[in-house]
Amino acid sequence: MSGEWLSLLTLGLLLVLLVTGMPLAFATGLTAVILTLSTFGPNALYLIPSRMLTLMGNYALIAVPMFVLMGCLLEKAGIVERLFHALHVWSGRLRGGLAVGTLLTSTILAAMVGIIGAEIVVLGLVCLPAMLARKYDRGLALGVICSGGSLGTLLPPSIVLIVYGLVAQVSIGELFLAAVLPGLLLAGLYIAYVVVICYLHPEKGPLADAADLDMPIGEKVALGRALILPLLLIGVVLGSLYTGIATPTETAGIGVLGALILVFVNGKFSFGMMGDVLKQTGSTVAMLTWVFFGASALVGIYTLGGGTSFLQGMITDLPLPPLGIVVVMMLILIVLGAFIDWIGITLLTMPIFVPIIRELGYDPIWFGILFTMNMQISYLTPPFGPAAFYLKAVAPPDVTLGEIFRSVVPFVLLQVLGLAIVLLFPQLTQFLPAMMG
Amino acid sequence: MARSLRRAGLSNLELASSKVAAVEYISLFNRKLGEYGSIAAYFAVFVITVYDVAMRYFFQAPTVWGLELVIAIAAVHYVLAGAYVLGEDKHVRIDVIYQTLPQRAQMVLDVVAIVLSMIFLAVVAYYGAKQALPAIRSGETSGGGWNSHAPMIMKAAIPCGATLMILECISRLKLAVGRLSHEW
Amino acid sequence: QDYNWSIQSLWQAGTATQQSFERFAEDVAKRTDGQIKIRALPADAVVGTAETLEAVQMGVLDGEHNAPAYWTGREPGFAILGGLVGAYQTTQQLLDYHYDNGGLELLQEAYEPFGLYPIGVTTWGAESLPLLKPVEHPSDFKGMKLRMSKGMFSDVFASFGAVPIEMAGTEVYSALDKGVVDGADWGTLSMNEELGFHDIAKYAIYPSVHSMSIADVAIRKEVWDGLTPELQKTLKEAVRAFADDMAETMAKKDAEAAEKLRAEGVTLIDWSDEDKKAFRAAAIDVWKAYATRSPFAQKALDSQLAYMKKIGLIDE
Ligand code: NA
Ligand code: NA
Repeated sequence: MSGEWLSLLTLGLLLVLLVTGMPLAFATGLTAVILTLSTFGPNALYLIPSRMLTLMGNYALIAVPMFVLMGCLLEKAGIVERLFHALHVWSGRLRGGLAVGTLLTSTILAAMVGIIGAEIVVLGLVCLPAMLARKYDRGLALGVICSGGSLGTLLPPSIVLIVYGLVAQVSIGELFLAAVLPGLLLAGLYIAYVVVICYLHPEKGPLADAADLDMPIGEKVALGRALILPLLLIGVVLGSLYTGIATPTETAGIGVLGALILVFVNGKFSFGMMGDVLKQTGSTVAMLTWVFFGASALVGIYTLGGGTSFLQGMITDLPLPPLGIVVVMMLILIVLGAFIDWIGITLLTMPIFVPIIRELGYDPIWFGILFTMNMQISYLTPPFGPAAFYLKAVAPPDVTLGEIFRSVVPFVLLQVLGLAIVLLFPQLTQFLPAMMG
Repeated sequence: MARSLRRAGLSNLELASSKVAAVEYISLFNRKLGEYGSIAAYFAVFVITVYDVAMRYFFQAPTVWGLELVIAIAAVHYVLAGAYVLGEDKHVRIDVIYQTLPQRAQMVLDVVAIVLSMIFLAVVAYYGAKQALPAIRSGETSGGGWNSHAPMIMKAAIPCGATLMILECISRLKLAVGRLSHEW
Repeated sequence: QDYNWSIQSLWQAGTATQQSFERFAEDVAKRTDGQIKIRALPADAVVGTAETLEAVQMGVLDGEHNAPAYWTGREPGFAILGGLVGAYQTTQQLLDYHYDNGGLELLQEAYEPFGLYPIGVTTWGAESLPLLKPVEHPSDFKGMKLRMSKGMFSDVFASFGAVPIEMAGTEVYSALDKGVVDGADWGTLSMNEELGFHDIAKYAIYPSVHSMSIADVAIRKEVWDGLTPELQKTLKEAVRAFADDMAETMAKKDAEAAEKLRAEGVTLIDWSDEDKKAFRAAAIDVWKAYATRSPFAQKALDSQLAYMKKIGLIDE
């Protein structure tokens, strides 16, 4: 089978299977089974458990349960509510202040956890009800949480950056530093959008309550205490990495320790609570890894069938200047991001893209940031949009997936804008590493 | 029993319409395994990770077993807890199109989806067993410093996890077929 | 009959070793007039690097170009044949052992129960040890935290007081970067330089005696047995030429890297013969203890000890 046909068949099968509403993990896995049978015969099906085993032995994935556990503990510690309250009161005179407060909260949270699930769930539980109660536009509220919550894997620490660093063999510490300004850039774009849209349509973001607005200045300043613990935790997590105490994956474990201490400090610890967060961690992680298993099986058979070589040839044969090739890569990632998860995309494309990037003389760190920004888009785009799935799980029952996907449209456009800015100004990714190195 | 099953997510109607049978016990088993397994696994992963970092940084005495053990614990959990997630209906499904279909079509598709899922899981179970058997027979070890049986255990976990998921699917299939025949 | 083989290597796409492997694939096509076509797949393309043995057995891959040391957990003798820590000083010694002194035959015996046939072996040369602090003598290892790969390495370094650390390969760069470890066993000087290890580590033991490993080219035994004697002969010659190509390519790259790194102020430490001998003496004790793990491991060690005595690498 030629590369074109293999690619079309893969896409077609996947779409048909997804219509049945079957779990994504099994749809990708079954697509792999059918492709294998139609190209190589039953013996090659052995590839599926083999690739599962390889993923199971990947130490970097240990960061996933640790970050999920950390996110769950942060929620229980109650620090997110207080943080959000402080930021909201401070931005109370701004139209859309609550949405801005949500985005600021999500930016700070992003500097603590390295996966999106944990962050979106926390924001969905804390910030969404607050915005809906104050009659914020639902679309705006949902979009803010999906996009802000996704920042967790752009701002360090980040599991996507860890895995990219491993695949591309570049310094994870440098990647983390390089991601800071692009992460803040996206957060800034989101905030600017919210402020402008609420200025144009005041009904979308009503002003804060009188009680919050009229709070004496001294009390307002005192709310700043809510920032101390989160900032300490960020210091512990990133500090353990930069001072040579722990490796990137171990850092996630240190983060759990920090979060657990916060739970104790706030007097929220109980064995029942601990059992609950561990159960939640277990089910989230098992769900994610099965998605990875399915994607990995599909990528393996696609490569064996020559699909990867087809993609590679297609890219290198393009009559384009180097920057044009990077743009094509970004477009491919955006399309793939609509359908598969970031692990599958990393496994499929990075062995093709990174050598080309090196050959063209580009900085693989910069490309890693572009890749990670692209994955920000993939969390939001249908049909496979993890950010939307996580939010759906904690949103009021009448919020549909379709409504969430509609709400993220402006934010996806902002993400594309941010991506274009970093593409044209690589300095944004080089400034901090150069300064610190 | 009925109360446990109700807690396991089965509604009264479902309990009344289907006799409590072996498959329901499997659901309950998967749930308990998932819950206690998750608690034990990730508490252990957390403690070992932090312990290993501390031993290395403060005492210059890292463990030889930490890395291997953490990977094995998490690996076994990933596959064995798949059935628990299935029971809780928490596997990600992309149901944007599915949601727009009429209810009867959805009911038919529910049955189709479970059967198709079982085909994939059967492949995992069968070829996973083929992968595991030689490792079990030869008592494969990691060959590293600790030289544990982790690879053998990880390989064995794959067909076990897939089998539990197939059993969970059977339990769900029974309910889906029940709903379908009730409708027609 | 024509053959189309997918063979997966242990090399990342785009590396010099993978390019050498791709040249081998082209060479085979040329030598056999296109009768045997090899798709030279990079590491992890189809299955994980630790799973290629089973993948070939099960027919997912037609062959593997991988380090036999990976199969140590199945048969301890693979560690002894795959890269005896601290044994050889030149690639020629190692290749001579395998091609002319019984090494390859032993490797074929080791693979027999798995249904694979190693056509030949290659080596990427003596590895170098990147370090954050200078180590002029083996005794300087005392108290240093070193990331070591699986196998006998840890025991040898520990005998000099080093603290061996088991660490996933994927965490090494960052660990070195942030000083979690003081040194890391990885690859040859040029491989380490390419990965940027020497942007961080300002010292290296080069040339180092600690590690020189092999990677074989193996296909299913039944497929090998079904080939005509002419094709078998041509393939053997092609793998032998591949071994020379890889050794030369890497030697050249290592020399270039050495020049470049010296210019950049990286100190390359060459131990005295006395120190090298002391290191090998410690290694021999570890080999002997390790060889007791299986009868085949003992056999593999005896064969290499005899060879090393013959060429004067070790005394009686
Ligand atoms: Na983060
Ligand atoms: Na998407």
